[in-house]
Amino acid sequence: MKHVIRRILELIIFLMFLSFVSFSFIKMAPGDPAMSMMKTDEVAVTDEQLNQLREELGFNEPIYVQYWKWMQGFFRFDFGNSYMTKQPVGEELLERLPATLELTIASLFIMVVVAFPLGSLAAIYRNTLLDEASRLFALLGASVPSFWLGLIFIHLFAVELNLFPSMGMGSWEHLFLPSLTLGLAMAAVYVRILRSSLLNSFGQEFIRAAKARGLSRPRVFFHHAFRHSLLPVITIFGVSLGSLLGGTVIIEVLFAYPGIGKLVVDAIMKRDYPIIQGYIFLMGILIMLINLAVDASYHLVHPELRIREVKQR
Amino acid sequence: MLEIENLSITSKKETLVKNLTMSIDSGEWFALVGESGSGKSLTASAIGGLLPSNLSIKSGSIRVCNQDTVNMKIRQRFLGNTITYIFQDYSGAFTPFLKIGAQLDEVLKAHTSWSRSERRVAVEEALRKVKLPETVYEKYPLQLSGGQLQRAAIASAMMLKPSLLIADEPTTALDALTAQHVLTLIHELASEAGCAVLFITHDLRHVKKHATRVGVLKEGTLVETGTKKEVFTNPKHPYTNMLLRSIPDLKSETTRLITSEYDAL
Amino acid sequence: MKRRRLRRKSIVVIWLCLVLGFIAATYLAPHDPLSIDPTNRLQPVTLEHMFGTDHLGRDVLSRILHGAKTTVGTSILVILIVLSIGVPIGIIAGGIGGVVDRVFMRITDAFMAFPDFIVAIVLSGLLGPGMVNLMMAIILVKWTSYARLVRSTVIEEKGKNYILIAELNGVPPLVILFKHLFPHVIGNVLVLGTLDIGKVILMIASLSYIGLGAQPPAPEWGAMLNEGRAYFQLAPHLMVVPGLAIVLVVLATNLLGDRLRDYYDVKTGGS
Repeated sequence: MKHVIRRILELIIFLMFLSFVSFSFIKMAPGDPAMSMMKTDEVAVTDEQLNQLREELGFNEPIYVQYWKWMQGFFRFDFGNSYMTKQPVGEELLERLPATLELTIASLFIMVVVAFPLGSLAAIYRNTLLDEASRLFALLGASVPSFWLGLIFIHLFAVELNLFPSMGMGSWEHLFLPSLTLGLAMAAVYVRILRSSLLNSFGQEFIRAAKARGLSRPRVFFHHAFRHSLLPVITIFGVSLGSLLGGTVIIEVLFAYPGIGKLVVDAIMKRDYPIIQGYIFLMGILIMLINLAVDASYHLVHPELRIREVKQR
Repeated sequence: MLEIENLSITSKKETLVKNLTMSIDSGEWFALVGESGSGKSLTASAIGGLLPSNLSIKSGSIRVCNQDTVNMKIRQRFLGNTITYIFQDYSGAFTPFLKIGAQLDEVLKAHTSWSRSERRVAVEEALRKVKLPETVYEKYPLQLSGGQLQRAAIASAMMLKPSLLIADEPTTALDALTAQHVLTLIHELASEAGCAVLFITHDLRHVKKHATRVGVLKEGTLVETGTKKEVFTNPKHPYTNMLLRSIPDLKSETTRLITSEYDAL
Repeated sequence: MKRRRLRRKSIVVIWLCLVLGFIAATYLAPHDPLSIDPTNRLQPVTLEHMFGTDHLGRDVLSRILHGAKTTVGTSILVILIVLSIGVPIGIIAGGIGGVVDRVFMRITDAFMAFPDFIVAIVLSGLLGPGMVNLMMAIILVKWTSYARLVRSTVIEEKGKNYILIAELNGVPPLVILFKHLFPHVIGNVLVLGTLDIGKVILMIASLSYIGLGAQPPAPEWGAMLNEGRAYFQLAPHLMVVPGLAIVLVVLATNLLGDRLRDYYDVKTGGS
């Protein structure tokens, strides 16, 4: 219980910090938001109109009043309307969120399908050709930009072979190329992490004990060694999920995939500040949720950790 | 029960166990002694095929119940069932994230075709025999003390009435009193099951108390074997003699300490 | 001690070669990277244009070579700025300790909670797209890991006997800092920096590709891929050449960084 309360407090402080940072950046940003708002309508702007809009948006009030109002809106997930579409930002973002989550989950699936078997085989058959291949895969993964890989996939599978659509969303075929691109890039990292983590597990005394109890090789591997190896994988996974969220932005733009990443890049181009603020807020929440989920999955894999924590208190 | 003939274990560079020949009959308690690095633990590991991957059996044969355990198939059938182990490091005896009960159950599942409830009864019986409370079934390894863990390991090893128990320094990591209890327990259960015990240790006091026969290993070579009485009263090899003289004798130790303190004054 | 000096020297030499190499690259360019020639659009590989021309008739080889300055040069510059911010802060935090150190750790914790890619995107969103803003964003994200590395190096070395003996002998703190601590610090930091160049290059290229970094017509590898995308079918070299340039340079820095790390056994921690 104490733990939950602390988490919630942390979340509130974190959101205050975010609201302050994004507010001050917008105030420091070059250009007049009222002006850019008018500009997106692409009509001639008069000073009178500008002033009226400023009054409407509260830009003529003192800065602390503006911040107070801004923060209230921030916590209600109310960022006003998008300059581009005139729709409320919250709706706009939430409408796009499922697409991004779909892409993220599909990429994770491909990452697991590629990295887990390859990492396991590299550990079991270490210092063989297979291990070297996994090393090469990891090195390439760290050196090939994901958007270029995506471009190659588009050229190969969509343009030349015409197997998969190269843009948009709607079916699993639409999801395939973007998630393959992102999944492979991630898999390259986890193949090596899983390999070294497994090698560490293989050397553990309890693995020898499990073998001595006559358990079958697959049983020892999956039930004992593999599960033990997941802990560092999860830790690094928690750290790098953020970069996965960053990765989706690039991939969404590349494949014209209508998720929040594509939305925010369009918004940045058009100086659509309400959308950008909403995006910051949403990312903040997502990152917090990810951290919570990572914590929870530690305990799922290692239930004895809870007991250890109680013991230490 | 166990016959080892001309066993040699090598790493890439050197031979660690040289032409070792020994045998143990059922019901016997054979103590293999020697200092660390003498190859006694390696010999124990080789029987169950548990050598580290950089070491291998170069030559020789190991037979348990007249079956060749260098053969992987036979070994896999025997391990955990006919041949069982207890190791020194009790903290590594069980996988940390699985409950003790589940890990004992897993052993029965691997070696018998019993139903779930039959296995449960057998595990509880095994825990009772090593004098552990029933609640241990639902506990994680780190909730148990060293002595309790070693008892659970004994339960796991003796559950299926093995023909050969290999106890690889089972008490080295325990305090003296717990060590006594653990050894007495092994002794009881082993004689009840009538199984042979290969006892690896460097502590001759335990050998004196429990063993029937003794083998002395020095730098990978078995320099002496014989009954406990032969070895202890009439050692043939000078190295054995040296080992015997190094047994700390509590009584003389105290007098020596007192006299040296007296000298210092 | 000798090995340490050798090690520092070799890393510095490698770094100098990197910087000089990319400055020299711009002088090797046979054409003006910006000059448009509508009669020579989308030329394939010829003797005149060794990597062909793009959709505006610009020479791709020249753009790649100038792009090296933009992409790689900027990444090296970013790393150098990050070093000049992170190293002093790390030395101060590790050297003074106490409250200063605790405050420092809290601040870096807060920075590290945010994934670097998101921060870069959001910052260039708030400040507007462009190379300078992108650089600022990356610097803001990256300085913490250097400051932390330096801090832990300083704290580790500070506890060693030779520093204690120097202190007891009345060597002034600044002399200890520059003569004894600094050499350890700078070696570790340059290894981490070499490992990071590749990451920064990828970041700049990716964000330029989606239009948040270098703006056309600037010759930047990621931006070149973006500009050429519509013409890949007609002129595949527009896809292959800039992409390979990125891959090869990043591969080289990664290999170099890995080698340096393994050889000198530097703990760079999680990235």
